[in-house]
Amino acid sequence: MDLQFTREEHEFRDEVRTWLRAHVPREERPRDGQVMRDFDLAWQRTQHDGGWAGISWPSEYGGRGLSTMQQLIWFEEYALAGAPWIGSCFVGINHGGPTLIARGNEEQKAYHLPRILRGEVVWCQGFSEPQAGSDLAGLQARAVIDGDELVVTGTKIWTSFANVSDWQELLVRTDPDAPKHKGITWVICDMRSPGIETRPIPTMARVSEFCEVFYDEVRIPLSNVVGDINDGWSVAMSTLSFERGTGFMAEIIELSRFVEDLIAEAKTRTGPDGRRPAINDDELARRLAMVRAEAASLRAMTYRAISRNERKGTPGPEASMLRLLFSTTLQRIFRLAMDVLGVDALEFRPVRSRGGWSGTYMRSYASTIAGGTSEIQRNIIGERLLGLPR
Amino acid sequence: MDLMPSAEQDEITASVSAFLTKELAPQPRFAEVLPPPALDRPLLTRMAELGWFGLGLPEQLGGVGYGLVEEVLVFRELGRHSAPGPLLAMCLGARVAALAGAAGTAGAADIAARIMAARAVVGWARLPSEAAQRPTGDRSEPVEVMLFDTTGADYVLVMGTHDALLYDATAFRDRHAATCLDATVAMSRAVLLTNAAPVAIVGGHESIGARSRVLAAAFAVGMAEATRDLSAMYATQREQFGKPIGVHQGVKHRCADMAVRAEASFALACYAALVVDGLGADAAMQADAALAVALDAAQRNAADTVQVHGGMGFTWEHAAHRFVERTHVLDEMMGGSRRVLADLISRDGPNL
Repeated sequence: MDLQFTREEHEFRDEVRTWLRAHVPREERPRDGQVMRDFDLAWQRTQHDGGWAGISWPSEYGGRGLSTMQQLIWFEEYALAGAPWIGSCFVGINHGGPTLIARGNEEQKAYHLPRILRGEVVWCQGFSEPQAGSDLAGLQARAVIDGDELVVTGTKIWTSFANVSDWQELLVRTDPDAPKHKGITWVICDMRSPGIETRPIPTMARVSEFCEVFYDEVRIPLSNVVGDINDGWSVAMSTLSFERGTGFMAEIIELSRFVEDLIAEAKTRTGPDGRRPAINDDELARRLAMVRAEAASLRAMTYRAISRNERKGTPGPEASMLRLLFSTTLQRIFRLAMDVLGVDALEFRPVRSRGGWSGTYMRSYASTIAGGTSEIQRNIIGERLLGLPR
Repeated sequence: MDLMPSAEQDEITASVSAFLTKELAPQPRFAEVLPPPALDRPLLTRMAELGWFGLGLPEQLGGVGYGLVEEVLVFRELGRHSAPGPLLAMCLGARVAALAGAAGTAGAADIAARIMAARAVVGWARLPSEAAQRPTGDRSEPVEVMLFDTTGADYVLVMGTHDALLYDATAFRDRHAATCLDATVAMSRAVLLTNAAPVAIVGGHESIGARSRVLAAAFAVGMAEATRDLSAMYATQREQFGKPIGVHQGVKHRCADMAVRAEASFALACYAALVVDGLGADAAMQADAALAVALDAAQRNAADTVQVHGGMGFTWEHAAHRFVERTHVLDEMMGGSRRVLADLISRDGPNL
């Protein structure tokens, strides 16, 4: 075990820092609609032009081909530079793109990958359904083969950015008679196809990126199927461990900053006794100390996960431990922020806005649900790491 | 950067584990009031022969020359076995004496050599927090202390907030044996005399306080791992309603949470050890955080283990209570987790 970065890694860090310092957008990221989409794509384009698009993608597909350790360095510097959240580019860069790289055919890769990297298109995910949440394999959106097309009818839900997307990674049921994992197909859906209707779902965090998507006999060319018909479950699983592993490294790094920002707030704000700073309140001080400790442990656990990844090449079920601790710690931090801010916390400030503790607090309720609920993560940890019976 | 153990480090873990599995005495038979445990000198001698008490000391000071992270691996195994005896005091006492000797304190190097060979035994004194914060020599009144594992001890270690002090055992008077919550720990109340002079002192700049917290954290990590494993094994074997209880999410999820606490606290204990050894600016903060997280993990995992085992977990025969008890002893030896959290929040943040 050691904490030393190699000379190459130090040089890489310098290079990243210099580039980010010169190119990170100064203006705040818009939170909604076309201007948000334009902002996210422009930032993606800037990164592409600077040679920083697809840092985890292999270089043969136009990515940067960084090792996990270099990705960590990138995200550390990204957070330090105050660079904007990836936003509507998340699915294309971290999910759709990597899935195409793993399972797409040459035509699909040649068409879509450069467009994702260049910031020309927004992708969204069509996995969950009203009746298929944690039990994702129970999805029912029906797809019938008609000539050289799939005809899709059904409903998808919790699709972030569907209303500003060009493409969607869509899971559909192509064989209703097969066992549930065996009748699913992974297909690329053009979001401008006739028969698609998206409806935003207002959330408790007051952001409107969340959507429900309705499909009424939507025709998708069979050439958009990734992998084989009825083999979509394995295609979807090829990137799920990625999402639970290094895919949210940026958020873990951001979490340490939240803690230190909150401690700084507690030093300047008047505490519950109306006289002394909040940090002088014994209970608040203890809770702040504990989240500082937990954030440190999460960071160390991330380093351990990356080290494991460098040796074994895959995140493995340990990624669920990281995800579970991250999401519960995040909630504790923002719950504590509400107590540190006192009555000021009641003034609503949007998610990810400057001083936006209250909006992000409301957003934090999603962290133990999105990307696999904490209950599902605990099942994975119990069964795959501890060997408990199913 | 690599936070996974090397092959050599795995070898250390395996050999320590094998030794402890073979050598440790069974727990005491039940009695409402148990006699104070005797010091197992032969066991200490065998541990000394393996170099455990000088593991992290440089070879020119008579040690083995490993880093703090290797000591973490040893103390984690000791925690897994909830090993009894003055092991933390021996390890830190040897360091205090060796460093003081290297800095010119007469006789200290010899004391260090005797401790490392287990020819001298070191116990542990827990000062009231207010007294512990006062620097050395600023003690105008006798201090009431709690002693741990000082039966047959030649020296007693005091971990102050600023300094670490090694006293001759005769500096502690008016000893009254107390029955410890943990039947494997010898405990007594005593008074540290005003005029007592330490035989060795190490200042805070040697990060001795951070080292002590990291090692205590490692012991707690071992306990959190052992209780996780006990629970997972029992949840797999014990059947009710015709199936293993681990099938049920109420039990499975409790075990999963134990696994996360164990993993997080182990990762941070290793990380903090490397930061302390590397003289990182945030070493003290990371050490505090490591101990806070590990004590929390050990305490909650021990409590969960009692619960997962149902009635069996409440019996004397089962090991669960030993982990509950030892966690509280470790917590108080280190000044109490509230003290640790107070220190943690008073420091600068981590190097991000």
